[in-house]
Amino acid sequence: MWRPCGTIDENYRKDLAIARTPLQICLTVAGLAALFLLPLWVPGHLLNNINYIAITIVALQGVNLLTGMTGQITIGQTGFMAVGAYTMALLVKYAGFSFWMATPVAMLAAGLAGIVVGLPSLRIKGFYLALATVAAQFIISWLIVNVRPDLTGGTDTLTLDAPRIGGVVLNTQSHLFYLCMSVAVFITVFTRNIQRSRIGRAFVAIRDNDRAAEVMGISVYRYKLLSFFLCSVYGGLAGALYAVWMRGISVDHFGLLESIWYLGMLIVGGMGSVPGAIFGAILIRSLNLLVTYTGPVVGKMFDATRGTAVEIGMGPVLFGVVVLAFLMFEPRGLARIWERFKAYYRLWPFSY
Amino acid sequence: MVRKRWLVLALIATIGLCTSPAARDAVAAGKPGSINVGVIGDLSGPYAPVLGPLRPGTEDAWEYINSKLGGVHGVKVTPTIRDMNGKIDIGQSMYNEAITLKPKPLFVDIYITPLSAALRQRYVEDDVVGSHAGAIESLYPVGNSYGFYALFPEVTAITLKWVKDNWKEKRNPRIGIITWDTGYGRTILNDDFYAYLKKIGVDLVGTELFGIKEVDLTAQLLRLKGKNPDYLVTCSLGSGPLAIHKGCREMGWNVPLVNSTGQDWGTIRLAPELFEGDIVGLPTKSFDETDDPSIKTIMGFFNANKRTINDKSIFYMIGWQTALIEHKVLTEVVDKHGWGGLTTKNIKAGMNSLRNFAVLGGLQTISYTNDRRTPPQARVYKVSKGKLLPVTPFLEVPDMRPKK
Repeated sequence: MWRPCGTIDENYRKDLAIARTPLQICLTVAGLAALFLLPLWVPGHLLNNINYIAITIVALQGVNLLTGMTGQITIGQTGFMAVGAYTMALLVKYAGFSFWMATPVAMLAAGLAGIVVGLPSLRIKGFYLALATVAAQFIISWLIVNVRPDLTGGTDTLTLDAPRIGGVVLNTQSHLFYLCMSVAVFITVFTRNIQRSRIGRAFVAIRDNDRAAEVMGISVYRYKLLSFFLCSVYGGLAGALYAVWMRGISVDHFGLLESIWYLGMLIVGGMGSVPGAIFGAILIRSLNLLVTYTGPVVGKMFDATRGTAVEIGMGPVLFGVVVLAFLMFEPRGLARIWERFKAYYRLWPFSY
Repeated sequence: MVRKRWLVLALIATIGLCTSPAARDAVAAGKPGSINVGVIGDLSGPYAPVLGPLRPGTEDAWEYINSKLGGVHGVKVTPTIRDMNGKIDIGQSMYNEAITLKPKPLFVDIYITPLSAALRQRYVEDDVVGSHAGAIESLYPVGNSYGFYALFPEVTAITLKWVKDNWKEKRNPRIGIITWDTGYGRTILNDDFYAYLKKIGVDLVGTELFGIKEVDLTAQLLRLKGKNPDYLVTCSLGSGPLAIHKGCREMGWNVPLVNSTGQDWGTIRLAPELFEGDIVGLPTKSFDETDDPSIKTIMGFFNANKRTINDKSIFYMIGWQTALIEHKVLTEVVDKHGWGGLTTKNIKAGMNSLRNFAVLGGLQTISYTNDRRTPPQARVYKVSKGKLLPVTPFLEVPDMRPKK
């Protein structure tokens, strides 16, 4: 919308740039500045929700890389989050690592777990692969609970101290905001860059037609594994952030339902679109909060028995309706609506 | 005569000074307009059958305190109750909302173990006191957290002690554990509990776990049946004990179940005939002791506020109990330190010095110390025709605090 007639890319560098005009650069900088000033006027409990959305964006960009760009369905992202969260927590608690040292190791551990799960991806596709990722989710939970419960706490909660940076303890939501949001912004830019690189184009080629991609010389197996690795690394990072945000983790925090919802968020936001993952995370998490707070109010409009049923059922029904509505009326999600809005704005007052 | 006149004048001056607006202001310095307490529970998620009535229980209790007991020295207490719907992340958000309430809440009570455990250290950092369920991970190492009943393994232990004491055969009674594969369910799977079983002469013949949403327990029950236990023991609620009994009935196995706090009226209502004869350890008196003065008080508000049968659960009573403990401690702290002394440090000291506080004259008797953060008593009940009838008075539970 900021490229009126006459703004021409004169070289490849300009063509590849994320922000192409001075106005775009100014708006991006102003937007980021406004974002990072949020803790000054947003209350702590809202920041808490924003932090959770930021963590969700990190995990969701991973799912976006694997499912949206490479076309490999995963329903196991919270399993990889659990690997990241537990690796980080165990290293901090028992090996004396700092959060900053433990997190890269946690990401790597999650990435390796992702590669193992991705190994069957050359032979199986679609729903079969999705089921393999579900199996991974269960196996990871089982391992956490049963292999060394003396270390992981089994089904109990493993608590951990707040991380420090210099002399600052990151134990308030505003401190955590800077951590979570910085990571979310970095991951978003990183994903956008992957999408525009040779790797991203290979992912898209595999998604669109893996046989054609192979004929074109793309190593399908290698890129599928790379996609699994990156998705899990993102998951591991999100898990580590989740652990310091929650200050305690148990396997109950990383359930299958949450993994399914990551897929739902991606459908609502727009598969394969980097802004789509952001839109999806914001919409579904906000709806979740809305239902939580309005559920009891709506429930009170009915008699006691029906009211409870309404309160319990409101969330799942609303989310189901939202996902169905997007699948029926805008399968390309909020990202597509955003694109249409931009096109309309750019051309206004002309219709085309 | 002159001396007497001076004495009278001095007396009048003293009384005048003490009752002057300035003096009254000094006494009432820092008196808040209202007091907040936060309450977070899974009121509509998997724990809803038992936890759902926490909301009416808490509301009725604070209504009783504000209207009949005059609040805390005339200051009304406002409970902010939130339903986290079984979602930990939502619960975390609600905790953050609660601690930013104005004025800052003096208590934030959490009725879901994984959330309590995750936030245990946050309570200390946020300088707030809270009440939680009787799970070791929520309460120890000690911080600002207190249990509203004895630890789950402690309650199960006295229940099994009763089983042993009433055992007629020469051999030891045999038990098989079949419990939820969650932090709550696994609380009875610890070395202290096993050692206690050995000490009292109860033989553990097998242990099985099942998921919170699992309804078919045939495999687990078959394995246990092969070991021929006299009782099954569980730490689960709602659908958990129901699934156990349904599974047993389908395989024609008539075995009584021993459970703790989770098997209350909310659970038994699901299928009263299935739970007949079960042995249950509970922290409070029973709704079915209708002549008890504490139950009469509770039921007065229950009926006046048109609560339904679905609101009758142990957590309706726990809502009352927690509110009354908090009221007692806050009142004593204000008595001792004045309104300016209503700090977390003093509230903790007040909690730690509670000794044999009989809630509503006997609903439950509460004692806390700095080292022991759970009431040391519970009572054994038997399920009979859908009712929970006491078979013992309140008993001292064994101490199963973690050694470290």
